[in-house]
Amino acid sequence: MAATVVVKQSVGAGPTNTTITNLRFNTDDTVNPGTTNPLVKPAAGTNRSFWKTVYLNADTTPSGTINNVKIYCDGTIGWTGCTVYIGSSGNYTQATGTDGTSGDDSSVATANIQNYTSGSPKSLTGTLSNPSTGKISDYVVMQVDVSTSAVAGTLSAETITFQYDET
Amino acid sequence: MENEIKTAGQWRCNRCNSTKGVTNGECPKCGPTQTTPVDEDAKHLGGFYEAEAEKAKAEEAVEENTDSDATDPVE
Repeated sequence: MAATVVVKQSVGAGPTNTTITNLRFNTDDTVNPGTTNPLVKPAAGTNRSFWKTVYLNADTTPSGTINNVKIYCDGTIGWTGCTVYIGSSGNYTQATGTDGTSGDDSSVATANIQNYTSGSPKSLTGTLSNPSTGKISDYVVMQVDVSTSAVAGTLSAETITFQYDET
Repeated sequence: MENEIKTAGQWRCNRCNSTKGVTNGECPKCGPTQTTPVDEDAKHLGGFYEAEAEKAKAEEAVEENTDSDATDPVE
């Protein structure tokens, strides 16, 4: 039977880890924030989201092994004036910034996510074998930079895909 | 007053080897981590038996294929 694999988001100092099916970029360190503390278009310069940290997790064990984990998007993030940056790390660092205004600049999320597509995905470190369960991949860190050319309003959702091999 | 008893199971952290406060995929000391089921409840929750049954089925299928190939006459 295939393992039950989910995406978890980590927040707080602990961290606290929650299974998610959707991630919203905003300006605080919470899961599923709704419309609280949205991104703020700057009058000048750049504002940022708080960086968001997720990872791939096996709630149940695979028959063999899960490995070759990759992540990608369709190559186009249609959020005018916004750039989504991505990176990965073996260590968790809680997101920081000023709630409701701007996140601090992440030193991990530094690559434009549009560079990673199904044909050229970002590889993630991590493997998990029977009978273990739990965290499979490194932490994936993402952050949105908002420029003065951003368009205010609720933007349409974008899809990011995790891919992995399982035996 | 409510009382809910959950079958949490016993897990061991693959990193620090502790079982204290360890749950499926999380260790209070190491955070999100890989865990191994220790007792029967954890094995059920972690899908261990389903995975083992699947593995056994797959191995059986491989054995059948091997047997078939081995007994085929070579002309």
